[in-house]
Amino acid sequence: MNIILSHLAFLFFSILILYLVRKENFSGAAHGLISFISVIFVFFITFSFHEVSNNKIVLFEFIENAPISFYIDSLGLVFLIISNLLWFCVAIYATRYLDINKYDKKGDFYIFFLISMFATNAIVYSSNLITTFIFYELLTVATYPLVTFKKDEESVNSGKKYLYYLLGTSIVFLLPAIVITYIQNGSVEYTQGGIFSSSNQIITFIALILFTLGVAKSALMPFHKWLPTAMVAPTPVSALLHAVAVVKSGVYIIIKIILFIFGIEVIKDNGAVFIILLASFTTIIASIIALKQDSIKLRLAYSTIGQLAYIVLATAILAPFSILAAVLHLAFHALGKIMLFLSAGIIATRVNVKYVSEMNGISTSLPYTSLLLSLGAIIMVGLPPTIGFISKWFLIQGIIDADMYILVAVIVLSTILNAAYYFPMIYKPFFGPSNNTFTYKEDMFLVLPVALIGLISVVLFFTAETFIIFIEQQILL
Amino acid sequence: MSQLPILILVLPMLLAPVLLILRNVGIMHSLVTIVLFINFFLTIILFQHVSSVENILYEVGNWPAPFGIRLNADILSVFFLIIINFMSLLCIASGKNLIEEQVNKSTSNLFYVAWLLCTTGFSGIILTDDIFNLFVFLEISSLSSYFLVSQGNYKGSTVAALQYLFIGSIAAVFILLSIGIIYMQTGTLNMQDISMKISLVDYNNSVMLALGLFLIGIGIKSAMFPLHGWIIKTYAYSPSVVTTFFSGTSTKIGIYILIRIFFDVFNNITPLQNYHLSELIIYLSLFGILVSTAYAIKQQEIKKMLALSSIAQLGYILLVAMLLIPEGITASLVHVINHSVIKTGLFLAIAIIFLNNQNIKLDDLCGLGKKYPLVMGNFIILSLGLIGIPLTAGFISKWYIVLAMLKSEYWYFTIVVLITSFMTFFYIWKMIENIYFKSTDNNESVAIKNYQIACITILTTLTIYFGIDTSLTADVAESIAYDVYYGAL
Repeated sequence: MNIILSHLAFLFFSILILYLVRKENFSGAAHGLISFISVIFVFFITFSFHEVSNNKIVLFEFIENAPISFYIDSLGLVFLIISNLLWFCVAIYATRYLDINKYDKKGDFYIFFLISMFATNAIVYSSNLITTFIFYELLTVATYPLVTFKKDEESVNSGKKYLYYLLGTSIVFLLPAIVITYIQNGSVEYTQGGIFSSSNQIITFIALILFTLGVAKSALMPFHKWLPTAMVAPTPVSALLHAVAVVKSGVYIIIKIILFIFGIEVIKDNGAVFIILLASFTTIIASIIALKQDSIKLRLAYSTIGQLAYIVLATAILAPFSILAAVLHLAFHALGKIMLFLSAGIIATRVNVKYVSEMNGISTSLPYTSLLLSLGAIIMVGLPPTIGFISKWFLIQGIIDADMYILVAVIVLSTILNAAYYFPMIYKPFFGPSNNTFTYKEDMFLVLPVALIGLISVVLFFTAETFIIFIEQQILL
Repeated sequence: MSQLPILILVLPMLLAPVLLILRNVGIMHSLVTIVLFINFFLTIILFQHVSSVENILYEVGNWPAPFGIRLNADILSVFFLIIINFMSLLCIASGKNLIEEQVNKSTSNLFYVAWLLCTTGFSGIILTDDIFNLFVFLEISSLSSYFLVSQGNYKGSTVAALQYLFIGSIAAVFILLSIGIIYMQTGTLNMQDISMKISLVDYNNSVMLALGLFLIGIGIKSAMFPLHGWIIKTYAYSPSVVTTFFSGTSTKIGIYILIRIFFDVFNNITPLQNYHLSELIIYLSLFGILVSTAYAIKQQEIKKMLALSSIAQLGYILLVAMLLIPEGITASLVHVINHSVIKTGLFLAIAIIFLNNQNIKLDDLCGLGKKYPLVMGNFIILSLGLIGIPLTAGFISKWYIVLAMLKSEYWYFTIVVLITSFMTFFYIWKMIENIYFKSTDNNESVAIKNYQIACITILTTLTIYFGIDTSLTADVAESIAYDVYYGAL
């Protein structure tokens, strides 16, 4: 049996097992184990990549010429590795985190978490828009119970908003966009070089706008509001789903649509400017809003919105180096942001600090957490010697290649803003006036997974070259 | 094999008088269930035969066609026949204690009789090839429907039945008048004969008048906006098992007659294009979808909310059919079957939880998720189907509807369809939030029978199955649509 199908089948049956054996202690451990096995699957796929890549497996055809089918390409592989590795780290973190916070119904939590990761993996594997759409909606529906997990008034309202935005945009914009693609080209498969022809410019442009607005998971303005509201969820959800799996799926789909549905040639003179404008606007406005947020989680959420727009912007520039930067940033932002979220979660549970203004002097009781938080923040700002610098470097190189110098100003401005809102989070824990005395100590179970991610990010910085060469060979043919 | 069509009609009709002499409700119920099961089984065989071998034309009493009555089982009629007989069986099978609870003991045998006659009437409408015979069967089904509706033990039941009776009679008069005019013009009542002769008749105003009258009659029967008034009260105050049955069938019959008469019988003279009839219905449907969805969001009573939702969904069915392209007819037929399955399931779930409640309010749903996890799990999946989440039947419907809209000349109205279909989500979510996130002090609970859970699970399974494998819905609908469109039925 094909390894991609085995991976999905494994995840699917794991969901069933978790559903049938709903015991609090079993679920957590089993969930950790499942994520570990999933990582092993991904390793196998990585090592046999040349055999499995671009091999389409059709599951069944329920709409003519638009079957449910899966494949893996190099762009997918990058996202796959990152999301599964981080899933494993968060799985360890989550067991401890849920214990400390004394949530009940932990069994349900793990089931929906697993379904979400199943949907994410399926999105990565999907080989056409229909399959993507199906698992895109599944991901929305499966994360809803996680957003409303606390079941209080606030989370129920946030959950409603979450669904309004994500389901609404997907029904009103994304679905017709896919149907237009289908009518126009008779196919919805991701194809190297795109399937749109440059003949009918108006329809292409309409489809592009619908796609860009429809994939609201990428949190481009004006449909970004769901992301901050989703922050009521427990930290593991905010970290893995709303900094990596869900939002990155959105961006991943947009990259795929730009490269493999429209194709660089068609989109170049047909709407790339629209995406660039929207993304630039989003990245700057989101950074300004982030500056005003005092809640740590909200500040991180708006930062995510800004950074996602970076990735979309980099793709829409369409220069080889900028696309490279997009793929790199997809992975690197995930690493950095998840460290920030997990550290923020530790701080919130251990010393009960949820606002930036209260962070003064927490490094005395949580030294490692503060260090990891700073590392994450530095990656986000993009300072050397961290991985964030690499992607920013290539992005600027791409901009220069494409002769869009004005965008350099956008990048510089947003970097300054990034630095401005991250600086207090680095400065205050270490050097802030510590007038309150925290007596709590580090909890190693919570810190270790974050440290592992930190380690991965450091290793990646030094081995970035192999990574880059791989992407260059595979994506920038 | 050639006797199958008449067998399907006669079996329930023969059982009906037998029930009158029976006293034991238990035996009655099992007899009816068995007969309906046999009937359903026969329709499956008929479907197999018609789809793989040939159409069956059965001449009743061996009188040759234009003079005698003929039954015509082609793929279009069998498609609807399966829906009717399946829903009838399912509702009776799951409705035993519902009927005991809600229907007066002394009239319960009459209830079963009316049920059987209603099923026969529906089947007859679908199978007959004679336009006057169609009217007769329509009356059989209508009269028994009025009785079924009146059997509810709610305050409004009698009024609802009377209202239904008045409006239904008006519809019948319109249809009868129209049939009379057609007979006058063509001198025949046989549908295939009419189809041939109508193009020879001078294309004049009286034919147009006949078709207009027919359209109004059918519009009432299929709850076409703005002729939908009866449906809300009827759904709200009928015995819940009747509501469940009607939600999947009675309005769909209207759709069948519409497709049969206007696309098949009068195909040659294209009545819908002339005088902008189709355009008129498209605008009315769009308006109806908007209004009824908006009212559904405001509505606090569950049954009325679902009834309003039905009006909107029927609006989609009519809307895409009136685009007059094969894709539109496909979408229409696909949505007929998918909406039947989903809405019947939703009504069934409500019915078995609120055995004897009048006016079920939104607040009554609070905390049900904990009390009835299985039923409510099904309810959620069916609701997701109604919203149109992928991997449910609703998504397939939506795909075909959007496809048809975008391919038609009315492509700019796609936006209305999309927005209203998103609005569906608002009222569905009100229910789901109450079910799962609110708690209640009311600790009474109804014992749910296993067979009821089985019935609703069948519908849920179908919802998911039709969302994955479309060979039974979309493929069949597509072949029917092209046959109808190119006059090759």
